[in-house]
Amino acid sequence: MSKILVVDDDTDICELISFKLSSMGHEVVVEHDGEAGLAAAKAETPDVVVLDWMMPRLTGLEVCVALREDSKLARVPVILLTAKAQEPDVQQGFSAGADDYIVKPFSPRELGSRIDVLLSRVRS
Amino acid sequence: MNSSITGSPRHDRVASRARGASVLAALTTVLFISFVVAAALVVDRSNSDRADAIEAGETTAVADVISDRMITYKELLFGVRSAFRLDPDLDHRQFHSLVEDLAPNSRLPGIQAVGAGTYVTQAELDEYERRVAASTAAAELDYPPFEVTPDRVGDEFVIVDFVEPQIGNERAFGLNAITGGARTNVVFEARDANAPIASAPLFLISDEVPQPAIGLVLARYRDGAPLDTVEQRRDAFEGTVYGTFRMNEFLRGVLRDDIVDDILLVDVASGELLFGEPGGRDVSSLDPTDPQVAEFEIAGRTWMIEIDHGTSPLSTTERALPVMILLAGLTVAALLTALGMSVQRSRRRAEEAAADSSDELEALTSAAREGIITVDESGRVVTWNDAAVEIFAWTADEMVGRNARQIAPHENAGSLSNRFVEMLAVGPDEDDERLFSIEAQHRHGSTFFVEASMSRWSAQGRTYITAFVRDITERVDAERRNRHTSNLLKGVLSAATEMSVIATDAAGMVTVFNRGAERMLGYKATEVVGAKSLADFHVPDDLQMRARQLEVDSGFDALVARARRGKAQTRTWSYVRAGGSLLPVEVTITPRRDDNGEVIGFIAVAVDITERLAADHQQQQLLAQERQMVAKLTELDQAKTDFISTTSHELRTPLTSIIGFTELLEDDPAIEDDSMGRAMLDKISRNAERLLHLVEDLLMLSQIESGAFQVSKRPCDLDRVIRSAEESISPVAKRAGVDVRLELADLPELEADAPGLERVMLNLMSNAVKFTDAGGTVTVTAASIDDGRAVEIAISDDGIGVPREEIQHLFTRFFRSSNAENAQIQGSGLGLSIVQTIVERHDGTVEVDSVEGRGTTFTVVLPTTVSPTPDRQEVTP
Repeated sequence: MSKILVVDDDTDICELISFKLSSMGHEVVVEHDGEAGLAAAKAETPDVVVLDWMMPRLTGLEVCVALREDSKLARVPVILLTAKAQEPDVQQGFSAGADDYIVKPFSPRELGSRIDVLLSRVRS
Repeated sequence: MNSSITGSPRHDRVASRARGASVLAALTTVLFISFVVAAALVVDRSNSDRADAIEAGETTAVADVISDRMITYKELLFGVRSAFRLDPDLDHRQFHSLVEDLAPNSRLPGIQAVGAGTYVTQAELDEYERRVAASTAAAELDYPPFEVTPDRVGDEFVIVDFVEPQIGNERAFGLNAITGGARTNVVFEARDANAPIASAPLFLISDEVPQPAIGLVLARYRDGAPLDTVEQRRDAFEGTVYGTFRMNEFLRGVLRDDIVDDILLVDVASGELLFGEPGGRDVSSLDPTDPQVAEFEIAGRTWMIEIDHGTSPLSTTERALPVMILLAGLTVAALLTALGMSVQRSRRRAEEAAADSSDELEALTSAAREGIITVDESGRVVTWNDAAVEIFAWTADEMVGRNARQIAPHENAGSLSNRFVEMLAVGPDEDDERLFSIEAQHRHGSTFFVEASMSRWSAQGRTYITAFVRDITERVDAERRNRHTSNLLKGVLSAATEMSVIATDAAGMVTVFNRGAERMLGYKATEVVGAKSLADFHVPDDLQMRARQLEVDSGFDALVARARRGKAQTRTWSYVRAGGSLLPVEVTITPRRDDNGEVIGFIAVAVDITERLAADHQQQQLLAQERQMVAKLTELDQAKTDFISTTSHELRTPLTSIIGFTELLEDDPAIEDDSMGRAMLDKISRNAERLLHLVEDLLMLSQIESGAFQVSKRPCDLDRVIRSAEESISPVAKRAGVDVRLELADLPELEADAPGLERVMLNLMSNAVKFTDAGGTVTVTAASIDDGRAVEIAISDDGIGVPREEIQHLFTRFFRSSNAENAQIQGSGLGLSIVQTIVERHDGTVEVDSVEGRGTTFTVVLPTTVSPTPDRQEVTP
């Protein structure tokens, strides 16, 4: 039972992810902009963070960088989940500190598997 | 003066003259010596001739003596014959007395015997012998018994029946004189000659040691018989009288001993030696022409006498004469030569001295910078020095001896002549030096100015004029240039209305203020010159600032500080016009220096730069505009990229929800039994996928269109790319019932855009699957080709294929083959176009081959990074 923070400005997608992850047995915290997401991360200390990139106030990338700078949250696995599908975007994402990068549209099943992998990694 | 300017031509001439004289002297000496030698030879010859003559004379004299003495012997014989004629019966006692009376030995040196012989025939022989024997016996003179010897053979005999003295001549008594040889010859010769005849040299029988002797024979004839002819004589022949004498004693008795020893006497006919010591010489080779040799007749025989005079008959003085002549002559020659040489040497020294001084003079004139030309009274050039050559280009060889006229240009020749005549005409008391300038003509035709100073002088009764000539072209030119420059300057200054030229003295006081300055600054020159300083036209603040910068006192110094030190300084300033308005100018300040390099003033040249400033301003504005435009374009570019990015994002997001929720529904246990519901969800899902695919194609297309499409090549694992594409297509393939097979060989490393290549693979595989019916197979092969230089990837299907005529259009955008249309295969028609674009960006090729109803194969060839090597390492994926 892990706490997963999901940050995306599209509410439908948030519901989609939330539904899937809940059905997997995870606790899900949802925010819709970067700032709120960062604050929530600091407050809740999630086990995994799923970040959209293109968001108002703070972009996913900025949030990722901020998380890495926070000593408490630096080790938390971050998945970038974004429609930005170009090679340079992917690179940028990983440079910012993301552990994984999934392109939209995505398969919820796949997302679930990847999160499990990350969680198992953290545990060990 | 040091007399050895050796090697000068003058010295060479002296030397060659000396050599010539020496040669001449040598020749003379040789001639003289030859003459002396000839004289000596002549004298010697004359001496020798005289000697010869003397000798010949002596020889002849001796011969004459011999000849004369021979007469005595002949007389003897005549005497004895007379005795026989007077008394035919002369007996031996009478004969003995007769011979004794004739006392031969003292008067007739050498006489060996005197005898007589009688001619007897064979018939008379016995009788004769008896008679003679009886006679001799009766004489009681101790004669041996008379006997005819050697024998009694023969028809005729001439028997010696008288011989005195008997002693020593015994063998002769009774001897037949005509048994042969010389004895016989002389008898017959005497018989024929009726004169005393000498014989060839005999060797007397009487002698123990044979000595040469001569027999002299006179024939006896019948008394009263005619004896005119040889016949008559032979007929009348009765006998002989003879005498034999030894030559040795004969000659010693006839001649002085000192002569006798030098004599060689030879009988020519027989070639036999009569007397003398030949000393090994061949006596028959005596030469009668030799003055020491004489030939003479003796009683019918020819004798040759040689007297070896040994010493010359000439006196010592006479003999020495040729040698003396020679010696004297040589001595004289030597003396003369010595004298001549001494004279020659002193002459040469004098000549060399003269040459030296001439050389010195020449050197001086050579070195002279001025042309030195000397002419004689008629204007002909006598000397022409090196400087003259330089000035006029005529050489000394060309000018000396020619009239100097040609150095004046044609029209000026008269003027030159005038001067010349004037010069000549100058009186003895007048100043005979002149200085003038005149236009001269160069050899090559150009004219130029020269300054000449002429002076007149005389030598050896002749008058000469020497001119010292200087080429003043440079001076004239310099003057001209100066004038020219100053005119130019004035012209420039007055013409320059666009430029302000202000000259100052060292302190800055204006000395020149040109038209341009007047115009630009609004002052008149008269107001300014001598009244204002250059600094007055500048803005004081400017000067102060500049002064601070340069750390000098403000004012004029600030303007000229740099110029004072260096050469020219250019700077922008503002001039203050009359009235106070400002004029932007660019000013160049130059120092003026005197000959020592001291600064005596400055020149400030200013150019109005108002326009230039305006132009600059304009330029800057344009530049700014350009920059704006560039910024805008960059923005646009960025906007385009952003648009694509945004659109992509906007399209993907709703699709995410559709695909995502659909999946969730599919996973919901509640739907398990609802087959209809599942089928519907499947359709939604498939269409969402299709839409996504289309969106991606469109986005890629727009990227390519906008030029934003970049292929970023990186080391790429092709194997993984193909497998990844296969994974993506796998669900679709499964649903279609098409089997996708991969046959991948060892693939080399590739520099490529992995997502791009994955897209290519995906598109091609997707097409293959779409065009293949259920149960069909799509095969993907990949291998390296061309020695590892390229990779070939083939995607083949056994589907419906493409009509042949449509193959060429396949890669056209939005093209859909008729088969696709007919089979209702979904597609945008963009896939292949995108494939082609990406492959081309990788410098690769894509080709298609298709047979309707059989299948289609797409082949992609991509070049690799690695250059071909025979042994390729395995690439670990």
